[in-house]
Amino acid sequence: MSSASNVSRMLSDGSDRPGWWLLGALGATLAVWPAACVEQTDAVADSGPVLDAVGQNVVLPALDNYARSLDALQTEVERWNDTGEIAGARTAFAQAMDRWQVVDVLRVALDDGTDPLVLRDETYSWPVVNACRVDQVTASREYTDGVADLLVNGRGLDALEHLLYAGTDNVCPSQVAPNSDGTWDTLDDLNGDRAAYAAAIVDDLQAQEALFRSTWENARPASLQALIDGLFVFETEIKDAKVGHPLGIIDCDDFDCADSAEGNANSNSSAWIAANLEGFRALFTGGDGLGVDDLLTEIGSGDVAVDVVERTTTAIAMAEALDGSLSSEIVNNRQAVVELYDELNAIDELLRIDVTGMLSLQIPAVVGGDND
Amino acid sequence: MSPWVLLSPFLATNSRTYWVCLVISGLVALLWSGRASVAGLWQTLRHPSFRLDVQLMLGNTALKLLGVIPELVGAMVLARTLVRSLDGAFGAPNLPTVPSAALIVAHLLSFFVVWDVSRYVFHRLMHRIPALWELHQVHHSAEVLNPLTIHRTHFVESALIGLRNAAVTGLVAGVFHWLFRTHAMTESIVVISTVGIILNGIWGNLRHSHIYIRFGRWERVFVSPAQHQLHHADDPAHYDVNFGVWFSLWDRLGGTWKASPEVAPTVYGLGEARNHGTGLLSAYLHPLLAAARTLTAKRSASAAAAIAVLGMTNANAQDPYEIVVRDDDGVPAVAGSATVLDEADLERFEYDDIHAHLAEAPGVYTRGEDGFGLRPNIGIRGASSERSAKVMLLEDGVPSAPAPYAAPAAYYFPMSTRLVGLEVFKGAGATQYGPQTVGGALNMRTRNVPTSLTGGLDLAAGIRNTVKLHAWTGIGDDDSGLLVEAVHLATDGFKDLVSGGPTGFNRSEFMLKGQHSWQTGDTRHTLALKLGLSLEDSNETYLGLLAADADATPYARYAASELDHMQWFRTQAELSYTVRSAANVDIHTTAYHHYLDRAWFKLNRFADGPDLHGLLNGTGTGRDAVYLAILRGEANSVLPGDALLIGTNDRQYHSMGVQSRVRIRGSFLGEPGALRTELGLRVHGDIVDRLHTEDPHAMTNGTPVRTEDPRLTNTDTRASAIGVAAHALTDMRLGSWHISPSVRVENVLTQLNDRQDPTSGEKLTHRVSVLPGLGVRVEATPTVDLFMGAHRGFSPVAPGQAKDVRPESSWNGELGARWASGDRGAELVLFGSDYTNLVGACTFAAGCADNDVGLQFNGGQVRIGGVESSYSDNVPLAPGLSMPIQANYTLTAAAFQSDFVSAFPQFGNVQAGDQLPYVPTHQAHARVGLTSERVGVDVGATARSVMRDSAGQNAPAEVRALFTLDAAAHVDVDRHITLYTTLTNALGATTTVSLRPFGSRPTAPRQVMFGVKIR
Repeated sequence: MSSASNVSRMLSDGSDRPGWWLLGALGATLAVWPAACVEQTDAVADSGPVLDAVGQNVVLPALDNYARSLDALQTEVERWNDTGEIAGARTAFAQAMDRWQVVDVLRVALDDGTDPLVLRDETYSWPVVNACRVDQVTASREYTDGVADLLVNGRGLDALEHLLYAGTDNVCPSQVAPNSDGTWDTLDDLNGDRAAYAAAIVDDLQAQEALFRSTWENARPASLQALIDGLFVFETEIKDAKVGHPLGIIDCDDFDCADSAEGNANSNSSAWIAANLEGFRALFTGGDGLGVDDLLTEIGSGDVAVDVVERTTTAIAMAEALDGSLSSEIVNNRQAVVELYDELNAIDELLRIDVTGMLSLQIPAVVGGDND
Repeated sequence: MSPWVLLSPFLATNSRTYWVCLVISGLVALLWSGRASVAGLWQTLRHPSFRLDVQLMLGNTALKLLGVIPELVGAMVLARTLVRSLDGAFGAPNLPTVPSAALIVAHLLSFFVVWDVSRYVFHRLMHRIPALWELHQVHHSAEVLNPLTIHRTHFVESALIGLRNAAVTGLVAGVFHWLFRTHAMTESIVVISTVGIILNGIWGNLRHSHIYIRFGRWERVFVSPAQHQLHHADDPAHYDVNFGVWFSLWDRLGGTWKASPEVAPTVYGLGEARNHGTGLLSAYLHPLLAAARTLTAKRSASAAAAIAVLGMTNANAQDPYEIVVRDDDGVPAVAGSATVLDEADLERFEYDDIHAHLAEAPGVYTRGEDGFGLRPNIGIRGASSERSAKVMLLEDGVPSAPAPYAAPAAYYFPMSTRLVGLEVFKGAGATQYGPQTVGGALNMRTRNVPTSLTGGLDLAAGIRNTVKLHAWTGIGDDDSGLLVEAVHLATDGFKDLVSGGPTGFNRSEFMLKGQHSWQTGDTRHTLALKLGLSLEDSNETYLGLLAADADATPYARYAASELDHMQWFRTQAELSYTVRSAANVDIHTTAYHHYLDRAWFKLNRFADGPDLHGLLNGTGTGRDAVYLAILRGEANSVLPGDALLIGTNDRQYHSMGVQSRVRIRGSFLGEPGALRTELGLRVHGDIVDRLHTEDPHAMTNGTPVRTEDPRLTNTDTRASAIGVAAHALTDMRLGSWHISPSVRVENVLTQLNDRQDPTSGEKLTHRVSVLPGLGVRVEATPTVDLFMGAHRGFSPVAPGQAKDVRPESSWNGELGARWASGDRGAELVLFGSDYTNLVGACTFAAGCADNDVGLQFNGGQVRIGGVESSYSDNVPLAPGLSMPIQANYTLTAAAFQSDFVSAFPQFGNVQAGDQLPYVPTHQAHARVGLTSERVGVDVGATARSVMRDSAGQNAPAEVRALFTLDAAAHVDVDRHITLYTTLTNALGATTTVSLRPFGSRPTAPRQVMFGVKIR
């Protein structure tokens, strides 16, 4: 009798022997079945590996890029200090700023208690910029012994930007120094003073980069919530403060909202938005490692992760298509900036509803079977 | 993967055959059927049908693990899609805060009900639609029923079940997430699992068993095991009945309900009608083939059946917003504990700060701010101390807060120097003295009109040019009298501005009292007039210090507060008429009008910068350092956002009304004087006009300088309230028992007019609240009283609040014992409050923004419990020499019971279990003295544990523990002259007493005063 007819007979007479064979086969399959392929159900995925990966795969690589640009900046600022030639320093600054803008949005509270905002402010204090303070320090030459004790808006990238692009006048009102005490008028080598001040700032920026690095080498995000909160820098800083506010959409009733845009008129601040978005995307995806997108995929919301990444990539392209300073683009190419804002809004909606919602939503497991 | 995972049906807690469930089910079966259950089980285990149950269980488990049968896949996607769709269609709902417990219950019920409905529908479809019935036959072919039969399903049916589970779970989870934006309701998931295990153990597993349990008439509500066994009987007439799982309501609505017969079916399964054999392979393959044949026959009754079944599932709506009020705690009460401080107590340390006096009252919490007690923050039994707004403040029994209904924050407070008594009523007393009854009442007694020519003078001076001048004189007889009193207090203050500017204050108060009494028959009439004038001129600020600065220079003041200045005056006019009859009836009626005009010019905020409370409670590094440099005057304001907005909060308050109390003494059960009754009625009106403006200033070379930018007007409103309150209180003595029922009714009408926005209209609100109470006191022994009581706590809603803001309400209870013997006394009281709604009221002092000032915020459910204990004695040491002792300790636990997010800064992002801000867990005070006929020395110590600046539970509390030591001594030179000296904060503690309004506020430094009293 053929095996096929044997099966047929067993099926028809109701024998349970094939069933046991079948079970044996299923058991054997399970034994060799990789656990990772087992369907995930309700549990929120383990976030530990994702948190571990943020520093190694996102922050430190971004810092590496930034550190290299700082080295180049140091060389060019020294050249400026030595020769009075500023062009190279401006170019190096632009590159360093591009690299920094990736790091700038990586603001995640760490398990050692580090406040990410403070860590970041030490390098770049925007929007708390104060060009007058930079002029005051220039005039008073407080930088000669280093700038570490100055307020953050007297020693960061924003201060350096003012030194690189400022005119011959200072921007302070008449009733305060360096106008009230006349020290500005005593400066006989303004370009040289600014170059020396800039060199001191670059030294401090390198020290801050080292601090930033060592902090992340020895700590990791405090929690998944801290990482999620860090993603919302996208909303508060990129979407609202950097784009929405200058557009006059977010908290700005003035006529000159565009003037509040990041960077001065000579900067390439539109590109900084693209760099910010790259930083955000890296934080979301975990760079080359595990990221929030993987967590979403694990809990069955991989399409959300894809959506966020795709839209961010689109927004990066839109920001890159802008040219020059954001303030001038808002005036001259407003529609493009508005479209960028709309795209950022869409990403924000995904973050607010889908990403946080899904990561915080737990689905109760089926209780008690169902087959009645 | 280990093959042992095949045993997951016994190990997974979400499985009906979880081993714990099986053990419970076995015990129930044994209890119900005894040996028969064991015999039946043995027969079951030997039956071929059971072997197929096992095979299908293992087979389906393997297929689930291999991903062939999905479990809950898609639930997340559905939930997310649902949230997005609902958001898109309706926007994010702005629902009132729902206590987490209620949310959990609602989630649980919704989940349970929707799940049960869906099971019914699904089950019915499995029977109704021919192709599905072919699959479902695998389950129905069981010839012996046992708990493993639950797993006896065709794997396609299991897959469909997985999809259904995902749909239902995603639906409920999505809707709840959309409605409440709640994070994972872990508690409800735990509850679901726990309830599931219990239900399955005692009930669910017996559905598939030989244990025949009927529910009788309850089968109309719940599906009994017997009903489900009937459903499995080998009788086509019963195949299509009792589809439900837990509730039989769905069967009744669908016309498929059938009661269980008395006798259990004898044969189960489908007999020869079934479409498969007894083996696993057959059970998998044959139903598939049969279903395919059915589908190709194009029978389409299924859709109609589905619609018919689905059409009846929209009943049984739940209300998830209903808040269950725990109103069965006990009977509300009036009688309660009280603390009374007389003139001698108040003179002991000559405190000019009311906070210091109240340290002698257990259960009363205070929060310092300016170090002088100019604007006290007093709370009782966990009620918020914020500006003493939750304590009923009275002066001689008349409401003294600026506007008790419309704006009770105590910006006026009588100078404690002129008080001759303090009465703190906790619990019971609150019902008599409204409208604030959540914590208690504080009555401040002023000097009575004398009955002879008399007077007194108190002159004192101390360091920092502190001076006190207090004088009073009066004349009178038994019928008439007049009293004039004046007090003046001034100091240079203890804080240091870099500019050297003033930080002290001047306060003056004047009081005139006159009265005349006359007799008509056996009735005595008294007409009394009280006039008062109070003035304050103080260089006070809301600006404190960064913690690091407070540690280094605790008494520094930042330059940004240099211009801050408070000025107010208050007039007081009260006319009262009292009738005392020999017929044991007293009537006391008072008409009163109080007017307060205050203007506080003070730093509010940066034009565009961090909020000051957050800034000064931060690290002071990074960008914070930039703003701190401006506050300190170390950096100039250059950018528009750096401007300092220094505002004038200009307010005028009227508080007026007429109140009358009738006290009657009578007989009770034949015992004269055993019945005392008080009836009270008050008609009160409040008005508060607010004009809040801000002037931009630039910090310029260390001084705030007015810029040319225009003045901002933030608030220009008139709020008013009319409160008609009535109360009744009776004390009935029955032997050694006193029963004291009471009730208070508050009828409050409020109105807010926004002058800046005439289109907003008059926001009128009307609320009536009934506040019952009951107290019981037993004279257990001649020296020991036991007492207990409960009452309803209440604090009215201020004018113009959002509709969802509810009055603060609570149930307050206490249980205590009091012992008194000669000079010795002790009291031990357990107290508890269950707030159904704690309300946070926004003031600048609380750290609120101008736009939020005056707003109130629901704080949800809060529980407060604690112990108050006190002991006092006057130990005789030698003839003419004694040692007075007083000590008290209060233990308090106070925690929010729900999760919510509030714009009220002291609440913020609240999690259930968070402790209340500014309520210390431990608080103690002790004093000891030596007193002879002419000389007295006293030393007092006050200690309290750490406090939270805002709601929280895990992070360390922000406000440090406090310990202060005071001392005082006096010598009676003769019967008219007393010399005294006081030393407050003898140890020089610099501890921060508050982080509000903005930053660290130190306790007042060591102060030495020397004085003389002449009387």
